[in-house]
Amino acid sequence: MDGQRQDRLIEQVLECRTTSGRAELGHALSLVCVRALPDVDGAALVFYSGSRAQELVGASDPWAAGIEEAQYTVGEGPGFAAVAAHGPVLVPDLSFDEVRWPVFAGAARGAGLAAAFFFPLRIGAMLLGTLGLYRRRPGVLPAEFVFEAALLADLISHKLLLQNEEMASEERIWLETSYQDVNMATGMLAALMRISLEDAFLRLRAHAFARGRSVVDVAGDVLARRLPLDQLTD
Amino acid sequence: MPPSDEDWNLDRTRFTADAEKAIASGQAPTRDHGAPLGPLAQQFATLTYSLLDATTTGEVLEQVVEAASRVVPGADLVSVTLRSRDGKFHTPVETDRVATELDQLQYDLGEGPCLDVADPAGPAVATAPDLAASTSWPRFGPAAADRGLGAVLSTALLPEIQSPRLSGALNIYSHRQHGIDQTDHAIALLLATHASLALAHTEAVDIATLQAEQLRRAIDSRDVIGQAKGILMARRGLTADEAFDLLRRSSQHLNVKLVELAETIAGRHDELELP
Repeated sequence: MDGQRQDRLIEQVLECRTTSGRAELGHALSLVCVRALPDVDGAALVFYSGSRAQELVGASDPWAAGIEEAQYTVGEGPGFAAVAAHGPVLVPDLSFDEVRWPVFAGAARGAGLAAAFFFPLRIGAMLLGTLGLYRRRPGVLPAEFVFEAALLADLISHKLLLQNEEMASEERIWLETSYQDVNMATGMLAALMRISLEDAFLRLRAHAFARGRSVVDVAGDVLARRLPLDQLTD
Repeated sequence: MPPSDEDWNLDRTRFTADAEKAIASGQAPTRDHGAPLGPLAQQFATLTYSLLDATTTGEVLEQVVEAASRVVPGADLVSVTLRSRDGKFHTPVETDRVATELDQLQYDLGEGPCLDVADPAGPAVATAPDLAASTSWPRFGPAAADRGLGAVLSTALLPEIQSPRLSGALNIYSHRQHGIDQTDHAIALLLATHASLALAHTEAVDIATLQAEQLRRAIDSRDVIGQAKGILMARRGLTADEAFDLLRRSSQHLNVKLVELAETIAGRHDELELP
């Protein structure tokens, strides 16, 4: 990558400005990635806590958001692997990696995903989450663009940190996040069924998986009290 | 319960008695591990252990702020100021909102006790027993008094004594005029020393790391706050907003952080009742 291109990427990330919060910034940053990298059809940013996805910060489009939601629902996939490895995980052809993540590969290929590349969002040694890049057709990400994607992930981490600093502490706690419904539904189920939070989360996930739904949708039903509890006892 | 003047004097007598005995017998002071520690010494022992466990700068600073609120009798509000190499000031850990405002006020006015002691070439301690009548900080003093503060004490934090890349201050505010006395000074100095030592042992102290830690903690607390909301919604038939309001009011009422309250609710959801 020449210096000029590098400067342009830096400029594009740092100049992303939004008036209405993190999700919109996440959307804008994901679009920068899609535009900068060749043959990348979608991108999404996800915050992790430990080994658990916590928040879809933003996505380039609903398709990319859906891929992340599928990964969150099944609880495995290259994004989780990138978090565990603290490094990039490159999957040029998802059909070759059925063995590694059979459930995720099935769900994602069903949604039209053929290749995916995950880069850690990091500040120093601290891991915040992942930048996911998705492709509808299989193929490697050329070395030059692997380097650019890693640079973009670093720039985006700092941009998200800067935005977090600009928010008041109250807003940071208030922040309604994409997967917050799942956390609330988990708490609700645990209290109603007198089971542990871990078990409650697993039941939500199992129910979603068995019905081919997203765990976020199922959580919405639980919160709206549309889903009878006995359906979750299996 | 913060230790009283009486506790402090008892502790001090106990410490000096040991030394006096040693001087009288012409030997080095010995430490009797069997002797019961006074309440203040106990609090410090606990703090030292937990500081040794703290691995990040943010954790150290949070614990010091919490300890100061607990063991400094005159402390109504506590905060920490850090000064980075470029001369900018930051309030790195979230404590009391009013304390943060008071710190910001000093940064904006360019004067105040925390600025004085955070200057590596400045004094170790700066204090105004009566803020309204402060001559050292003619603008900050009255402005703080307008916000209902009576007295302030700032003690220097020097994580890197050799080359002070980053320096800081432990700030203690009292609502009462002359609300901070000699006992408070002595305890604050001890705390600042503990904090400086602990800071020296954490990884590189820089503002970006602290900010990243804050973001990390905010992400980590997402699920527990959500879960606690869900538990309250289920048990009380509340909406999500009502559940959050209840959490927030209870955290103010019980004077614990919202995240800690959420953790307690989530951790013991089958037994705990909120007032």
